[in-house]
Amino acid sequence: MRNDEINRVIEDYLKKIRKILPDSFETEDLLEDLRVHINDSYNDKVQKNPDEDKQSMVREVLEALGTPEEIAEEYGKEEVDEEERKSNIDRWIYYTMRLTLVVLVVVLASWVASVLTEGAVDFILAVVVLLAFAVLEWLVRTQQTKDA
Amino acid sequence: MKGPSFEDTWKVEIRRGILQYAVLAIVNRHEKGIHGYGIARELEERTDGLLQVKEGTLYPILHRLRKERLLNVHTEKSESGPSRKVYVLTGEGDRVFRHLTLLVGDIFEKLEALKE
Repeated sequence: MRNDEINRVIEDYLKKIRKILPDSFETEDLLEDLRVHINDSYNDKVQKNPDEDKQSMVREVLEALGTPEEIAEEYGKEEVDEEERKSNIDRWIYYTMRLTLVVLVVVLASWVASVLTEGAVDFILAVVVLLAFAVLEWLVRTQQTKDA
Repeated sequence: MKGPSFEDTWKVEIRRGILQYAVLAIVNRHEKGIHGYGIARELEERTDGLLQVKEGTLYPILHRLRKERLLNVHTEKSESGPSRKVYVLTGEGDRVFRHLTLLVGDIFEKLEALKE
């Protein structure tokens, strides 16, 4: 079985990774996966070459795993991709909700105007005019944000 | 100090997509599932170390594939240590793998034709 020195080397390695990565459930999950991997890899090596020096074996195991920096880098790439994808979806939801809200307000305002004036203001005409204003406002605003 | 060579940067760029595909391909070969260390071993043996994968970098990839619902995980108790995660393809994973296989074949065929 493994001795204290070998366990210490493994724990030091995992500690380094924990330090670089954010303090999260995902990090704990990754560390657990790595711990199991180290265990599997080490046992495999010991079984194949029982006489070889255990210290150098554990070094080989950790070297094959990669440096803490290499693992953190890959972890970062996968997470960033995911966040980008998520923010794209968020943007989509945002635009759909805004559009629905604008249409709702326009229809409601036109209906109120039409009822208050007892039909002097045509409902459909009011919808068209207000929508035109909404589109105009949106165009002006996108232009302004682009300039800024 | 000289930065990484053009070939090295190119290899890093192309490696990641291939690695994700290779992981799906290996999991696909094991209907009953395969654990992380098994994937690393097969990747090394079946590709002759072509992708020069640092084994630890497989786990962020496996994590991502799980989040994308291409892989499913169940845990397996082990006598020699902590329990392990065993990975299998989901229905969606199977569909994506088949699709990517066609795509990969197509890409290499066209690249081969380009050389002539």
